Amino acid sequence: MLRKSTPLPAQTLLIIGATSMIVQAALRQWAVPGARLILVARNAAKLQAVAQDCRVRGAEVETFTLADAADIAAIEPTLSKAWPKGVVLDGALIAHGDLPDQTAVQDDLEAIAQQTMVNGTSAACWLAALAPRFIAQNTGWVAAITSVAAVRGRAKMYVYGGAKALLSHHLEGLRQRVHGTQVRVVEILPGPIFTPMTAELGKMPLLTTPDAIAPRLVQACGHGTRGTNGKVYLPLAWWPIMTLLAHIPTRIWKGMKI
Amino acid sequence: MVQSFNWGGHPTTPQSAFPIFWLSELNAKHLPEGPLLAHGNSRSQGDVGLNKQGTLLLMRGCNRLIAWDEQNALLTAEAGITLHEIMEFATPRGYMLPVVPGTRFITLGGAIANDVHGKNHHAPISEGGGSFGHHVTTIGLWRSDVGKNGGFQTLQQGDDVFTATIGGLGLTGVIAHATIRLIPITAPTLSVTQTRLEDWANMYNAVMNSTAPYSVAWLDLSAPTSALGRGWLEEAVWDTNSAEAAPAPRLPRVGVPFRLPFNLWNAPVVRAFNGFWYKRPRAAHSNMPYAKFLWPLDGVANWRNTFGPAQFVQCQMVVPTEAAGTVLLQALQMVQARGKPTFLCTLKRMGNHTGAGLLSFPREGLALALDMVYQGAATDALLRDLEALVLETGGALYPAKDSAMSPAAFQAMYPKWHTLAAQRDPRITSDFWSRVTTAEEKIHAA
Repeated sequence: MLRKSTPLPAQTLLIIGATSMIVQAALRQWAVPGARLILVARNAAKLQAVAQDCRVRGAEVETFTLADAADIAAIEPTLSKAWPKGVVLDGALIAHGDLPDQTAVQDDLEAIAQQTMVNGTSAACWLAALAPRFIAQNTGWVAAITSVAAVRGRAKMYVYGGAKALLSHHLEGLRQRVHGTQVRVVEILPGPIFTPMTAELGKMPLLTTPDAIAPRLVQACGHGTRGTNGKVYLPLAWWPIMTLLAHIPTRIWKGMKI
Repeated sequence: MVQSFNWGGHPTTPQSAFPIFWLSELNAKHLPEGPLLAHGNSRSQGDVGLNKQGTLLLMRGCNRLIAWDEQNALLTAEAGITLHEIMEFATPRGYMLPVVPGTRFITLGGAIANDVHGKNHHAPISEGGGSFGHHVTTIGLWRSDVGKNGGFQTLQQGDDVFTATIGGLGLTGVIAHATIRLIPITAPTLSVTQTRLEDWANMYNAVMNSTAPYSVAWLDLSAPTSALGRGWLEEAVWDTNSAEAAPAPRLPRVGVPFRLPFNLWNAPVVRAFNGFWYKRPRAAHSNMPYAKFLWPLDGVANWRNTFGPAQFVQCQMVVPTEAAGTVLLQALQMVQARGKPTFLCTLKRMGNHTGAGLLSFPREGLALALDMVYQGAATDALLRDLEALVLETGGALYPAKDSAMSPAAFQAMYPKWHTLAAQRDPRITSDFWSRVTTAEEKIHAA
């Protein structure tokens, strides 16, 4: 992790799912004069509001709308437009996602497939499209937002958690694949954050805001070789908690009401 | 997340809240049923930001910048942005807010709805004085009665609804965005002169004769009766000798992360602390970072957690200058005589500016703010007696801090309330408004 006092230089970044509240909080630090931000999202009007904020802060912004997060066939064409040949990207963040109501989806086969596609497969495919380009330019960071829910299967959260675990596994594999190169792979595991995704869920442990986690997120992504090349739990308290939970034996875990 | 929706915890009632993340969500189809009230960062005291009969629309998710016109120093932003976030943007670019209250952790919408003021109200408006509303040029307002599901109106300075919205307590509609005029920030520090004054006569004279652009006095209410009114006057002017640029304000590094299980501020502690704060030697002249002078209490995050389960209230009054000398001393004497520990007491000079809004609190005179632990009926009685004292002078109490104003007093202090009532959005109300307009509104509304 970088020291907070080291300011990061302006970067050229690609963000998938740029209307996420967590992304908007991070963009407040990434959007500086000299930065070039390529933002991809589904809702054009919301994307414009986000882009406008970044432009006021002095960044150059390009926006691309993607009709459907689960449309795998659209990934390569969108990426070719968003990241033209010859452009060196300092970083890319995969931040799209959707939190379903577990009890509503757990018996619905189509819903499970769709959820796994949106949160898991499509993100893994974006990663797969980005990876060779990052390896070729031999610099930069690729980051994705998973969740503490990805660490262990819980009755209350396993459809979402399972999809995020898929993404987490791909990130870990990719990190090994790029070992020895100048490319870093960052996995961001937020705990509960108060956003449109969680607004209906009521009280959650250690609930915090996008603004509270954004500084660490931005520092973890870093720039060049400075930054994390691994997992980042936000807030930090989730690291000891999840490490502990991950080691609880199955015979105990299966009976826990957690 | 937000546990209580006002800063002092009184009154506390169960409250429904609905977060707004995008201005496009201001639409009757998306919003909950029933009465609504936009809510910012919960720094108001009392019930001006509460709506127990309905829902609070939490606006912090709408905090995006919309435009920056550097030539004219006009910043347009969504109303959920805090003054701190505005300063983070503006200061590195060489600008700052002209008017800031005692905390920067309030929203743009809240600043407008309460027409907040700072330590420089008495300065000319062209130099950044006056109240917050004096520096607002445009307001984007959402009203439930525009179009089928509600809609947006852009109000300019001078429009009737614009004037009603400044200090309008959020009642004319949801403030969606606003344009404010910033001023250059020329130095990272202020040259601060601190003067200890031994009694009310000395304090009053010092405050009245001060010519500094920023000034605020702290009063020691633990003083013996003969010395009541003693305290420190802080006067500040920008330190033009400094060649450095002003840094953006930073989040506090010290805080009280959880509520203490007891109230730290009992009477002996309050007395001891105030006595210490008065006697503590200070440098007569020093250079202070601007954030430390303007927002001393922002240096400790969540300081209200030191009150534990106790609630606190504030009485902030402005009394015309000709009466202030005697009346404010009477107020201090009254508070001291009741033995209610007043942990903070500040005094500010207010300038002779016409209010920016219909219900603006800031007006000519001296403003006295008294923060005290809430002790039930006894505190209510004290607040009512203070109210009577202020009413006689033609002064006013500050709705943003109020939990006890009577309808009669409110209506006398703010005679233009009828006009605001006529322009109120039919779906919007607050506990404060319900409390102070009660039966009288039905009589006078015709």
